[in-house]
Amino acid sequence: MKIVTYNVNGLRPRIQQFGSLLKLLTSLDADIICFQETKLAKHDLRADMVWAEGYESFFSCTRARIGYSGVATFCRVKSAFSSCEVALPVDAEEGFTGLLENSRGFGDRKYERCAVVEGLEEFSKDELLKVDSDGRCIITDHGHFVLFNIYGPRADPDDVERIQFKHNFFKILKKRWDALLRQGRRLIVVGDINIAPASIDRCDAKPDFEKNEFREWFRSLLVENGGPFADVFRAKHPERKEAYTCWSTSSGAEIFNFGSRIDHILSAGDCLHEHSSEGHDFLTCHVRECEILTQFKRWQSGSTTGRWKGGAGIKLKGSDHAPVCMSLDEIPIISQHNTPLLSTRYCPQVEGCQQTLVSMLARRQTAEHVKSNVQHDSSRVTDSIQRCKMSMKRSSDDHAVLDFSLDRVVNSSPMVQGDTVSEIVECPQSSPNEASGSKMLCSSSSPAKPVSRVQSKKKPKQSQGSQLSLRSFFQRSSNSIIGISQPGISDNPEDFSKSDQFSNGDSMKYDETNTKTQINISIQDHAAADSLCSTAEEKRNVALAEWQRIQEVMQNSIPLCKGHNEPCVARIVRKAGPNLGRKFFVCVRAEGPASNPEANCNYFKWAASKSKDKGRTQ
Amino acid sequence: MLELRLVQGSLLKKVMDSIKDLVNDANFDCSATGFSLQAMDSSHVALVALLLRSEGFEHYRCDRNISMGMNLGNMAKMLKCAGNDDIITIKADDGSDTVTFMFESPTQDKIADFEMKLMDIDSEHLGIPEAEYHAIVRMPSSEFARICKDLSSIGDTVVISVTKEGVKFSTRGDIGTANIVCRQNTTVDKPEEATVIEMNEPVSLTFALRYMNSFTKASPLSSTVTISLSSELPVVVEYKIAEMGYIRFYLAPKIEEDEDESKP
Repeated sequence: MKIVTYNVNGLRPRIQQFGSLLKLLTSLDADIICFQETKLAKHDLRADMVWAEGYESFFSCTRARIGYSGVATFCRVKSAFSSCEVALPVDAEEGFTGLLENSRGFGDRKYERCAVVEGLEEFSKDELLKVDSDGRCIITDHGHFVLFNIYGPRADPDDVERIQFKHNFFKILKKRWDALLRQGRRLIVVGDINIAPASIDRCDAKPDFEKNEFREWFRSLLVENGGPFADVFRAKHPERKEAYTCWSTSSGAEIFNFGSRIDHILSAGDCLHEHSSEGHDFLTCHVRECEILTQFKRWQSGSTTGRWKGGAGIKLKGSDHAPVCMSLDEIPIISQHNTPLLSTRYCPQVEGCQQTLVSMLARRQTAEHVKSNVQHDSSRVTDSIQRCKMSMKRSSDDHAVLDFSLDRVVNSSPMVQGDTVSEIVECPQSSPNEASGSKMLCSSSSPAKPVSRVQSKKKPKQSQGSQLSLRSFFQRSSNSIIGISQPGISDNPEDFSKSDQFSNGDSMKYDETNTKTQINISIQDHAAADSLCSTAEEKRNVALAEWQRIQEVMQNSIPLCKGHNEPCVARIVRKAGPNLGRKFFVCVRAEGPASNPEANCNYFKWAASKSKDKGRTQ
Repeated sequence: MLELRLVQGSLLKKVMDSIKDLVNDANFDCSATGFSLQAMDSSHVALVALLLRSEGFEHYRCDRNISMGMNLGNMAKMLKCAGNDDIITIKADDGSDTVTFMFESPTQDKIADFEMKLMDIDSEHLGIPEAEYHAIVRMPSSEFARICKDLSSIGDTVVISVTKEGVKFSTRGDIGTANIVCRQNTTVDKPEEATVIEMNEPVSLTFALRYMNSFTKASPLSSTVTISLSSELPVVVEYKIAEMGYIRFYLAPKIEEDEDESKP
């Protein structure tokens, strides 16, 4: 059994990158896939975002800001109903305080809440709701273990309010973990925790790196410090350095692997062996391996995208994180259970109108399958009918109501009558009648084809040439003049005259290795000396030479960085403060460890402009 | 002592709007003949030249040549405070480290003074040469702006090709290609709606749409735009400012990436 955690940095762009949700999930090849930073709002949950054949999904979305945070857990299952698979949770919960509305599932039925986690009296209800309102946690109970999919909050070091939030978040989370551990449950915690536990997990860590309160807190969770958890990756690879999962988005940090390890898999609890004894625990007995899937990293060595160039013209595709994967051994099946009510298949919006024709028919097919295989177990029929009639209001568990609704369905909608249904399923595009019928059934008959067509095999942006700085432009044009001076290349009469002009003169000494300045001078010489050439030609050459000079000035006015002697990139201060709007120059190279001379040399220079009165006071 | 009174104050507002996104800060040069500016964009790829001749001002006093460094973002902020009908006067004392913008309402019942700090900016004046161009296209500025905007939704670059028949703007992107041809058209009711092509030689050059779109921010200044192209020279996109001068943008063409160069 494999569990993967991946901060996708926007589920939508990742789906676009891979062509479809299913392809994204397939490429991760795991039984339970936990995404963080889906950046989806509730109203974004549409079939193409949440439905993939063979997976059950559980989403938590932010209730505050749009396009922010959000986690999702995908479980690869053969059947969502009466299944014994461990991947299919027996229970699922959004958030970890248990206070969110519908935290246990959709629908009218109010799930009997388990007792509120103990020891949270010191927090007000608002505070508790606040830590859950960002959509940072999905808990799925898989029988043998309880899986937490967490997106830990990030806080700038000087943002007091945010730090307090982060503090509360982990404090409350820890209470929940403790409560479960007291009940003897095994825990697996995965996700982007936004904490790099120790110096080894961060590039160029400063000496006091480990002193941070959150890093200390993280380490206190671990077994070696008396806590309940094992940091699975570190436990499997205690010595491995430069094993990072996240790289800064803006500085090209991937190139020199200048990152940090903040995506984690933690495990706690005993093993499943019957006679658990000394030296047995979940980690040693069941975790085969744990790896960072660096093939998902945006920047691959030997990539053809070219040099970083200060980020100009390069759009790195992919998330700024890499997935982390854990393989488990010897996890036995569990007793028969159905998918929990939190499954997105019960999400009213998704179910209501946002399906594609194909996904709907496909689901109908499985429903039919279940129906024919299973005897009249009423709850199963409910399930299949529910999936048949997506627009139908969900019936309650009450048998009477169930029977009634079943009848109503069959009577009111002729389309659901057995053979018609199977006909539609078996030959969806056969006769126009049925086609229109199935259209009627599926109120949003958004055709399925476009979805597959959207598989934008986005080629790397066709770079139709690079922006010439004026200097390189003139270097080229002088090269082309050299080219022209070699007979038989040009087909343009005027160019020929030019080539004559050069061969009359001292063009013989030009070869490809000539420096630009030599050419520059000779062009000027020619312009001045050759009285044969037309005035227009002369004027153009003068202009050309003049422009070359201008270009040189323009280019030279960009400072060169100390480390590599390369032209810098200009940036403007965006942060509020006395220097807002000021221009400065920095090294164009990607950020990297200080030991690597190829990496950004941290060169910094203000542009030669400053407020006049400031100059006076200095 | 410097005192420049511009009755049509909206003109200055439009000038600022057209260059403030391209250029961060720049020196304004005042001489007896006029008020001018020359500046590069932050990546030093494009060049802007502005000229407002002294004749265009109602009152123009410039005792000696003076160069004033200004942050264009800040200047735009101040000029935003002027009404469209306001008369704008630019004032500076010799040796002062500030410049004053005075806005007078047309009815003279409201006068506002805005004083802005000047900056020290190192910049060399580049003598931009006059040149003969292979092809010169004059067309409605709104049309040109529309074309650049439309094409930039498809691709990153525009190929401008001039032939006897007309001027073609084309681009290609991930989703497909686009071609827009404007034919020479001089039989229009209003001269500013004409598309006029003067061509000595056919020319075809590629430019970054990002810059072109930034240049078209000057469209409110003039109903026509003149695009001058030569295969060896930077393109000039010029907007005439009625009876006063011009604003010109210079940009080097892009070249097709050489295969052997792009490979690592």
